[in-house]
Amino acid sequence: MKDSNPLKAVIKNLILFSAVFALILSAINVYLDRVTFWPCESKYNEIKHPKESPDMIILGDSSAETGVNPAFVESGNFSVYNFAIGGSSPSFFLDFYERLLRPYYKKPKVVLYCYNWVLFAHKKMFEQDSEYFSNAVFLKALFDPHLNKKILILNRFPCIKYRNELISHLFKIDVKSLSVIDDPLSKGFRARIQPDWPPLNTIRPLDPGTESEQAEQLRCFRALIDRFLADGISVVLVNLPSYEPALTGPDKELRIKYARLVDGIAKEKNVLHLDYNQSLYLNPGSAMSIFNNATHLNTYGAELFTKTLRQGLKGDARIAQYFQ
Amino acid sequence: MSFISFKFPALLAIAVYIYYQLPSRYRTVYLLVLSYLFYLTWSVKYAVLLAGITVLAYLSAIKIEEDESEGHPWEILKYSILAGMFLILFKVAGPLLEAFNRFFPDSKIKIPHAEVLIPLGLSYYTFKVIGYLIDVYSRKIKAERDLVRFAGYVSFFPQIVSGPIQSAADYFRQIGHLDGIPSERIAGGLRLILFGLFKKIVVADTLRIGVDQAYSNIGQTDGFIYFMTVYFYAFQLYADFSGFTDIAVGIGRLFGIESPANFRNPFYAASLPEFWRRWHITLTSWLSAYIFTPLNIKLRRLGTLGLCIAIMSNMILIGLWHGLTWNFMIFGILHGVWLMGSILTKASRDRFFEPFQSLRAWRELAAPLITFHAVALSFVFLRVPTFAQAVYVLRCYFASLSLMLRELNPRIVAQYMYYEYCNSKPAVFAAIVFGILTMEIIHLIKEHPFLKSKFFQMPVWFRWGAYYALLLSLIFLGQYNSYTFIYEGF
Repeated sequence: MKDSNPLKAVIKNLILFSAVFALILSAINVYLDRVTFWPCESKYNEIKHPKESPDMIILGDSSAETGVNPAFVESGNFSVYNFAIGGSSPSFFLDFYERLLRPYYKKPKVVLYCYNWVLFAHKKMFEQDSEYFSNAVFLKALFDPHLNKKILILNRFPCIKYRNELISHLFKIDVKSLSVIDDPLSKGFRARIQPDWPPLNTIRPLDPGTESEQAEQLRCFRALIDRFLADGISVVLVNLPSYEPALTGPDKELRIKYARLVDGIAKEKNVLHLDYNQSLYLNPGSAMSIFNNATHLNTYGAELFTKTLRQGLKGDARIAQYFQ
Repeated sequence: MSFISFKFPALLAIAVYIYYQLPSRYRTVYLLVLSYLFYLTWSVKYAVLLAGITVLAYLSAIKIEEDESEGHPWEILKYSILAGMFLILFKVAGPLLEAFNRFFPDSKIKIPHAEVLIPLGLSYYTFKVIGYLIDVYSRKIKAERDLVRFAGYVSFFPQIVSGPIQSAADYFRQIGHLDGIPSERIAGGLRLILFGLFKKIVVADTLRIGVDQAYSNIGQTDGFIYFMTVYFYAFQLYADFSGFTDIAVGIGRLFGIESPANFRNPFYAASLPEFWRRWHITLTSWLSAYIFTPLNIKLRRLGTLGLCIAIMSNMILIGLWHGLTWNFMIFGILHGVWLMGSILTKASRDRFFEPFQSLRAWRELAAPLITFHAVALSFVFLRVPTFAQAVYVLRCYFASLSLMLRELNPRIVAQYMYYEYCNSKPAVFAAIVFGILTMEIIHLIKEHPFLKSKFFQMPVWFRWGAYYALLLSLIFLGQYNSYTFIYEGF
């Protein structure tokens, strides 16, 4: 059949076809939303529906998430929430603060930025967590020229974000290893109980990223501190302990380099810098018992470390005032 | 811009919509504009080269036609070499510069970059142009006087990246009837694009993960991995190239242009000559029409030797067309030798099997298997960069084959494939198994008129269900880390 405009019939069928396809995708979306679970979702829920209204918040990557337990640093009316998110870098938290915490959450009195030698190596982007944004945040982000729209949109829908997990969930294959299911987070703190030590000879040096990537992260780190200070928030920089014998030579060099760099920034900005990388333990043999792996403290280690940290915070007059 | 980038479908939809709003007399110009806009997204300077070659070929064809005297055959060779000069130049320049840098490392003459990037689709449009010039010379077609129509043929954007190589006569016949495109052709185009995307994104790019990993660590990984890699690379190459062709042909159909078929179930070929009649059909047809047949006629007086020379020249050319490396040359020679053996022994093999009619079924079963294995093993020379690495892979393959025949069972192979090749990822395993099976079932339906008509007689929910399955597997099993096609580089 030859039509004057053959496209008309095709478009008519395509619209119907696409509508049915959208329904199928929606069903899969609901299914994947139900079966997949990311513990940090509760942190975004805390911003959407605040319950804690903390005086101090903790930022950092997974080592801060599992290393600082708010329960052991709180006192009286002084409440704490751990907003640290695995794999996040200073650039992530600059966006997180500017676009989420600052406009939609209570202003904290103190921000504890916890770091270690992987400070500038993470590449997680703010847009990657768009699934957990409220509609208002998502819509605003869509028109934000600084954000990557493709990443933002694709990560909004579980059927795209978790697309590689569908087969596993449908056929119940390796589901647990794909979606890490932990105990519910306690004020953002994530307990690590099971040891997760790779054989020491398999540990490879960390890829710290290119020079330009590191320079960009450093710029964001400075900008983030400046932003907190401009908003009247006290900043504390904390170098987290890591298990030295499991670090490779280049990693150790990186650890020393970043500790010095952050110390310089702390002096320049006149903020408190607490370096616990070496001082938490003396005997490497017994130190292993407080770590989950080279960079993450276990539950007991987190308790030990947070109590030590609390003492450190109380030792500085600028922060001690909040612990009265 | 790649056909599988995220922007392309949106821009294509707009382009197609506008196309059908235009009066048919403007569609040729519109197609030319689209083709050049598409090419400009890759490179401005190479778009100038494309325009230059087009004008050169356009004027040459008119000159050939106007030359009433029966021209000497070398006349056409002159124009063909002129048109193909850039292809030869780009193919030769990279390896020559590399060789120069290797032999004279301390030379004061510094050549800035040894790798010369071949302009996108140069091979394909050069073949079109040379074929057109020869056809005009041999009075098969008239020289095209309308530069817009001719430039549209050379640069037709669905075909420019990696074919198919359409003859000028076929294209011009269709371009003259753009006012009566049936809606079924557009729907067929969409189906073909969907199938092409499935082959590329689900099958080829999933196989690519393991293949790249194995071939980038030659000598460092378990030798058994190469047993699978030999087969998986064959399927990757096939799914990648034929997937691209389907997308290209499908896009062409959206604009009402039917492109020639490039593949016809090549892995079921019962012999190597048959394989080459089913694999990259438009290139082999081109070489057969413009290189092999004239050469074979010229060398007819040499008898069998002449035939062998013509076959070997043809196959070496096919090998070297991929690039000027020893491995590509070996690929060509291997196929040349096998082809000669196959053609020269066919009659005696038939005679040998004639008394054993009971063996006929076995022969029919074994022949495609043997051909497929020979082809898959020869593809190792297309994939790995050095002869030593190719030999290493083949040694691992045969060692593993011997182990397989002695000890291993299919279950162990499947487990090995899941844990080692698919990194214990169910989605990757499913994509490989489901992808290859689905691809072959669809090929089967496409190639058999009875099955094809049965499929289209099925109720709409069944047919749409099949399309939804392909679409869903694109989303849930597809790999989106690569936007390039293997044959783009040639």
